[in-house]
Amino acid sequence: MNEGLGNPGEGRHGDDTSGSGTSPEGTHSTHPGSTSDGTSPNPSADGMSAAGGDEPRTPGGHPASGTHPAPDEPLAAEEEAIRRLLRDSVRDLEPSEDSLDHLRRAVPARKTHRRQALVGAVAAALVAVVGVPTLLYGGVVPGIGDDKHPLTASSSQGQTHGPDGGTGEHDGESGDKTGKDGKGEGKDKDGKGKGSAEPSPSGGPGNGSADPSETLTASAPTCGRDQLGEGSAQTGEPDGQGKVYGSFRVTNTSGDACTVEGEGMVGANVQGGSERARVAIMDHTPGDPAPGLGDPAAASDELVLRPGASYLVKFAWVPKDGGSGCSSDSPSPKNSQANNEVSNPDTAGGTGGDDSAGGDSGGGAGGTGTTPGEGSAGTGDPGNGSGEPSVVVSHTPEVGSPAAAGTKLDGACGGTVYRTGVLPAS
Amino acid sequence: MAAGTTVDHLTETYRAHYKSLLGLAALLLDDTASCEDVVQEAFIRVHSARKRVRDPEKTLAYLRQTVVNLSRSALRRRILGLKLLSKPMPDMASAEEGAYEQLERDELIKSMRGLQRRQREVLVLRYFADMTEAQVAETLGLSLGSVKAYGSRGIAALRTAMEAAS
Repeated sequence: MNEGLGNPGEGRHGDDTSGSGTSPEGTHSTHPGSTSDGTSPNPSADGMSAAGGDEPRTPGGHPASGTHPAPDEPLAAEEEAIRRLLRDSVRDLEPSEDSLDHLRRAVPARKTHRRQALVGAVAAALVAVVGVPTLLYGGVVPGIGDDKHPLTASSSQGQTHGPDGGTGEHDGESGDKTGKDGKGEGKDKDGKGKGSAEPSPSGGPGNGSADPSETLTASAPTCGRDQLGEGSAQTGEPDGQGKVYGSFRVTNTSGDACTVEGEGMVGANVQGGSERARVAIMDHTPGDPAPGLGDPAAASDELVLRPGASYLVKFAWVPKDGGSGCSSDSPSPKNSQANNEVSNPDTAGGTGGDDSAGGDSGGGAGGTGTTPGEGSAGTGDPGNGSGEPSVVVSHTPEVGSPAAAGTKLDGACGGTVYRTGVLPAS
Repeated sequence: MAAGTTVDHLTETYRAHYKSLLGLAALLLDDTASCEDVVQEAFIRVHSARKRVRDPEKTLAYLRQTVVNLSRSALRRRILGLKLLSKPMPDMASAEEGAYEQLERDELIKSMRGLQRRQREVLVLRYFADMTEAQVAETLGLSLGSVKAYGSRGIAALRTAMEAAS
């Protein structure tokens, strides 16, 4: 299937969607509806792709939410619909006219640049190896020099490794990479004191594999799940529109500095309630209904946590208009849990399997039908206990289960959780 | 494609992959304005660092990887801020401008931008770039389980978003 992108004949978008090549001619703005109507018999796929059209939808009684006893089949059709929509949406993009000419000039220029920078990079690496430990052992924080050395050095390592990294099987290139990016590092120095916001393509372990320069500058290893603890959640009072802001805090409980990579998962699990509630999890973006979450740019893809340091993931619960589907109008954050910072024993301890399972299977957003628990919530049985609807919002670190923290929003049901990335805790 | 004769590697990969990578970038990025910059930068990096790469499959993998990495906002901001590109891209022709504008109005694109970054990346690589789940896992540095989870959750979130938009 790789030929999908590799295929030079990009015009033929329908080709590899096996049999569904009834791509409507021309009409770009209306094709989503017509395409799927012609090819997918499935209501859920139809719902997905007809969204661009004007077919009326009733939020509560949508077929997609109720007809998922056999997840495989609808899913396949839905996947097919997504495939088609993705291709169609960018089909009309064309390279600008002189993009190839520009590349022809820029590639040799970059090569030259890189060679020149190589010398400088070697010098910089030497400084890092010799100088940084000297400074640190000099007494900034006595006793943990070993930990801090990688911390500082990692900023240059992230630079050299990230963009080209990938699989790590290209030994021959390491010198070149160091040279090229070493130059970028020089210009960039001021902006990145805290260990580089650059995502490393492979998680922690992969980084060490093949690049010889790795030995020069060790980086703080990825935080293991066992290094992250003391999870807690905090929520505020709902505002006039029922929005509730809150945050999760997770601490590096180990004695070593480590790097948190990725933003982890925020899951929402609907409990109780008499109607199927839909909860979507969205990344916080500028202009969304949760301005209180701050500037999305403040989040980083990598955050180095010293021992005892914490990171935050903020979230905002934004109920659906008018609290539809809810027995009560606005969520009241749980008295005992919400008003102050709590360490939720259920989720922080390790028995948080329930929450993380809900999050992992994506049940919170509704409709996949793969989670038994979700199913029961959806059928209208208030059998999950109280009968009062609530949404449990939880956070699982990127490195995996169990959930580190969770909180329950009582009286909440349909709505959206907006979340930030990983933020340094002040 | 170039019938293997005198066409250099750069031109060859440009013809084979540039447009699809532009699509990849457009689906991953929050702003269409950076698409071309990101793809250009990816080409420059891959070709200036890996002149020996002749295996088309591998080149594509490198290019995709780089586009994914560059598309992550922190990185892109830095690159664009640094003006590593020797000169700004020329003005787009009016036809392309139309295409980008159209993209901005596309409901799917809007919905995709509402997804979590990882979900969006998984969906795009899986369904636009036609990668297997294992390839997606490798490209994004995630476990296979995470890829599945992000994928199914992404589909659910996308469905919700598109229903909300309709």
